[in-house]
Amino acid sequence: MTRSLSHIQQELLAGFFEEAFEGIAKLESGLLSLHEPGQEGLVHDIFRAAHSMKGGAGSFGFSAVTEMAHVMETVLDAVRSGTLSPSSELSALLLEGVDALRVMLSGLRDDPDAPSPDHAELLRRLNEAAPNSPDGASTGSTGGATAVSLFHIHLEPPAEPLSTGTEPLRLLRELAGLGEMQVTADASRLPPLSELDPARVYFGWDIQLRTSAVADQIRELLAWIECPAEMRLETAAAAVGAGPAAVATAKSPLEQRAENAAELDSIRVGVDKIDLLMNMVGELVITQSMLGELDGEGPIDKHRFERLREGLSLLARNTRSLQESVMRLRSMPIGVVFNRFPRLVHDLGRKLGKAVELKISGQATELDKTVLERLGDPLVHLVRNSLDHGVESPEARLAAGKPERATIELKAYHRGGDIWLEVVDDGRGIDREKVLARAREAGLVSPDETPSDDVINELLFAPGFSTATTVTDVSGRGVGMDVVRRNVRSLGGEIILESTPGQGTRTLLRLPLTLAIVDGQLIRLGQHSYVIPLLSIVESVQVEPARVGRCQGGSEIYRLRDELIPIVDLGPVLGLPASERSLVDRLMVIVESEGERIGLLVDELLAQQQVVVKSLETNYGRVEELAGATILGDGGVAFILDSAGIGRSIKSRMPDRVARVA
Amino acid sequence: MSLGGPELDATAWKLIVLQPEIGLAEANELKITLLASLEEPAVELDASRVRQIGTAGVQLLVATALELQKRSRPLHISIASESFCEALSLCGVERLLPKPALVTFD
Repeated sequence: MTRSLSHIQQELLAGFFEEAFEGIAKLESGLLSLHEPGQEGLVHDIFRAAHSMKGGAGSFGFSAVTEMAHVMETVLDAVRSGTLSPSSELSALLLEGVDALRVMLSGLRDDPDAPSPDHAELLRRLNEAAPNSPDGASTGSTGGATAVSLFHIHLEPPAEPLSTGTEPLRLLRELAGLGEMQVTADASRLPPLSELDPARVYFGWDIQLRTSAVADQIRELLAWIECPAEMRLETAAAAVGAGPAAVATAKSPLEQRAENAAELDSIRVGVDKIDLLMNMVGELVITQSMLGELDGEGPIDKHRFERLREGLSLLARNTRSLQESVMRLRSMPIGVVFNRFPRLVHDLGRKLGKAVELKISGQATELDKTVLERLGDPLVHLVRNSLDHGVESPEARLAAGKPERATIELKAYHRGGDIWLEVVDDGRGIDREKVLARAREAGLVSPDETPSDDVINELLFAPGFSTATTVTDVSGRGVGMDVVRRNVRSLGGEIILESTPGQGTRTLLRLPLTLAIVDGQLIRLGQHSYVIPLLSIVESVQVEPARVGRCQGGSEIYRLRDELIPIVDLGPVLGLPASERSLVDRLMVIVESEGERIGLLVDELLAQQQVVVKSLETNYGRVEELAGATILGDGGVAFILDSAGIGRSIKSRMPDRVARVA
Repeated sequence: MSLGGPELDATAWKLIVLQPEIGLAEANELKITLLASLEEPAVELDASRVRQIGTAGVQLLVATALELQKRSRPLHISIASESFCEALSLCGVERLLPKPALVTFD
């Protein structure tokens, strides 16, 4: 019999599994280092993971999971309270439990009604390991827990809880009872006394609570006061090194799961951002009515014309700031993507027998939601590559005079108008000789050629290229880097490889802040208008015939100052008839992408304006030379040119590399 | 501790004695009293009888303190009960209100 699940139930279930597998990862990595000295605080974290898995599984009726999680929780509680001391044997036993949980959960994920395998023997052994602690684990609060964590709680009650009988002070008192508490009231919303409505709560509170209580207990207390939306509970990586900050709202577990499931489909937006939007819309309305007033009878005299111009420039300014605010709404922290890496690195490291430490920075860097969603896979490829190809075995590292434990860093930061991501490892670097040898074998490079380092790096992006001598199930099939690059390019970004032999590799991804709107230069080509993204334009020049040269292959180049720039007649590239106009009558827009410049011949430069990018891929298919389409102010449609794509398309038509001719 | 500033004699101070219980019901009345006090040259609060005060009361006191500060008029809490002090501490508003000169243990 299969349960028929409603859409919401399915979402909740998906959320549960997502959370449960996260819990499994936490349990696993925690158990591995539980018996190591200095990890006493870890048990708290692991205990919580088992505890919430038990609760979640219970609410879906997965009794086998609940049972296993409960027994493990009991054992962990004993460790927590000091009645049981951690050992590698105990960890191994608990890890067996983790494996069993994983098997059960995977089975249930495929079919929620699947019978779970019998783990009676394991349950018995786990039960034996746990000293009798009647129900100590199930409440999650008893036991002489010694580990103390620091919780940061930001409490913002809704405006009118007092009239409903909720008293924040009572909650604060309860919280204070849990441990050592420091409260700071935020009185910034408090109106002047005359306007103050005694029934409303204006205060917000920032609370630091040092306590041995677990998050669930606090959450329960917070659920008292009915203001789930604005309450955040943060477990700080505090005194006990409780691991990465976990953010949870004070909602019921079910609601929480629903939220997790919908995490990438919806965006949580701060009230201040909405207020800002409201303000701007207000401004727009005012400007609109100001312009409306000018629409009366009578001739347009100088005065009215001035007012009209003023109104239009105001309108332009307001529209721009409105657009910027809306774009900010779309951004989300990259931590959402980074979160999956600790587990991945841990698992792969174990599989490959490599000791690796993962350092993550810049999780709070915000990216456009669309970019974020499509970034996960490329990053996984890069981190896998680093682990498999970059990082050496512990023995090899020691022999090379490096610390046994390798480091992989994941960084995110803003620079210029772009977001930069870095995957850095301190492994062996790219073996250029090996790459070259492999490239010669594959016929990508002729035997007598000695390409530059950049060209060698470029080879790594060739489809099907791999230097791995054996194909592992981690990487080595040669489907990595070209896919990564294609993905990054489809996001309008680029990828740069830097590598020092023996010292490591750094992969940089540059990504645009947003995909939705670009600053564009409108150009005319014959009867058609196109948009060139302003960011890629270096300059525009009037063509001087004396500076035009012809290469052997028939292609034309332009000498601009000290530089030779390939000339591209856009017409044929875009499938239009070649222009009949002479070169002198035309303009050349010089664009740069991926470090190379090309000159695009156009008939006319029109206005510069911001355009909203409409995807061609979704509605038609990928066209190498186009980044998308847009609708212009007059209702016409214009294609947006992708200068990088045009560059590639030209190169593929010209076997003679322009660089070499130059 | 002297209650008056150097430029004010004791009679200039408006004394407000807070009720033992300041819940939501009592808050409206307190608001009226406090509003009137804003016009006084100086305000003194006697919180020695307070056994129970809720968020509503605390907010009113903080709003009064901020308003008086804006008008450069002094506010003192001459004497306060332990319950009153505890409520201020729990509410995290101790830095927003003057320290009581004397605390009585109830």
